[in-house]
Amino acid sequence: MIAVHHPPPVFGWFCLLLMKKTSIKIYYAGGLESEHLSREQISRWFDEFDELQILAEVSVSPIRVSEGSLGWLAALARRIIRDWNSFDGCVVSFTPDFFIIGSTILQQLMPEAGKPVVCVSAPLTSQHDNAYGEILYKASMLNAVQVALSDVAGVLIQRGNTLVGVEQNDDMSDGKLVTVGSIDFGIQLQKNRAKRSRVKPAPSAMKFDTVSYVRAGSRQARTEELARAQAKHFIIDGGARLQLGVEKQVPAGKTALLLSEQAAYLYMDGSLREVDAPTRAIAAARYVVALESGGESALEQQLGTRL
Amino acid sequence: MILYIHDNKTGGVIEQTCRTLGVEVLTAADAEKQQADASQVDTFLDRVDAMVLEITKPDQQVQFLLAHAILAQKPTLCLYGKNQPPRELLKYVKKGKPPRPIKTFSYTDGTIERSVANFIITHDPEKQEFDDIPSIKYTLRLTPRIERYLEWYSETHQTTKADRIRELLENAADESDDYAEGERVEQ
Repeated sequence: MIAVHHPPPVFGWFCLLLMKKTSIKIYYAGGLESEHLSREQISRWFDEFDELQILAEVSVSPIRVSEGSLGWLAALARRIIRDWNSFDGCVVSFTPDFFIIGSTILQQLMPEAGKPVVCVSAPLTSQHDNAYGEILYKASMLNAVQVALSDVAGVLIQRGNTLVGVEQNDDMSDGKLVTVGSIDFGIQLQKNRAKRSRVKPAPSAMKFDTVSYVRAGSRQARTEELARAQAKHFIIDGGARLQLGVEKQVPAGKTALLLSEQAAYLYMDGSLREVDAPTRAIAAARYVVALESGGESALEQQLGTRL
Repeated sequence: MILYIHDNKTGGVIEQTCRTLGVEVLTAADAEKQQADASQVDTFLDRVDAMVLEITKPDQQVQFLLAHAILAQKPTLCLYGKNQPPRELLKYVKKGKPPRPIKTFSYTDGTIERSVANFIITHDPEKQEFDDIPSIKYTLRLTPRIERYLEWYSETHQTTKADRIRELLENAADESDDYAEGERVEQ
């Protein structure tokens, strides 16, 4: 009888590194300054990004981001899980305004993941809220790929030089953002971080196709967007300029989560309630998860609202 | 001048050479201990003026540093043992047209210190001043044709023949891929 020795996962991982160039998958859902790029333009941009090829064998999948609902985000999570065995780590690139919210929702969709899923975006420059440079985006992408190659697991948010994850409670619904590591001449990871394992996330049944994300904009543009959207529920992101009375633009019979820079409010049945959540992104994640799991009746309890 | 050093091979020769020349040195161990305030810099490379990387057997970290250096055009010296070139990595370094900010040098025990010193002198403004003084006397035989050209150039541009020769040689050195033996810096 031949004894088969199974190496411990970490040892196996390093052997894998020695044997072949590591494979990293990038799911591109925004991040470059130009928003409307074709699949070919996105692929070409990454092909010409030579510095990335130094780190790993990188393949890029442009993601179709539909503006009608957040269904694309749930589809992205299912796609990542479907591709799970084809990569050693993956990176998800979001547009800057949706970055933290999208990443946090993705964490809810994949609470247990034995490989790193690193969320990244272009850092906004301090001079102008809406301007971001290509070099800084490339630097962030290098950092994200390096994290995706590291011995760390779970959906992580790489914000500037800091890497954050979500501290999960038993019910997996009340996570707080915690620092997992930093980027400083290499990836400096906390000792108590989750490490790589064979855990493959279970596909979530959530679809998010009834929720639409609406960006801050002019009153008229927002009114038109809200009226046009087929969704039953909205996340209205006012950023630093959430206007008073914005809830009156929400079509009758629909709910909305209103986000300002500092707080979140639930608009339902004609009244406005403040949401009790550590961050606005976590409020958004709880909102979409609560709608999927319990419908509108679960919103108040899940969001811990108060009048 | 602050220099970042990544070196797992020479037993501290690179770091010692830098410290002897009075250069402030940052190593991976220092960076891990210091943990700079992330909000203070756009990228960690902003903390240093240049880097020296030993790349004979490139690990994941050195590949990461080199990728950032190429992206940010950060002056970097990549050293590898003679006859042990990391070919795949060098392909990326040598892409694009010179002059490139990333220099490579295949060293022996006898040449490593001088190559590091040359790199520092080239990139440290304080040390550059000394390096730019024409203090070495040199005798050179020229052809009459070259002499006619120098005569014409010095009169037309109101400069000395020696200055013109130095200028030509400096340009040639900047653009050259093979430097003098022992001090050769491939770009």
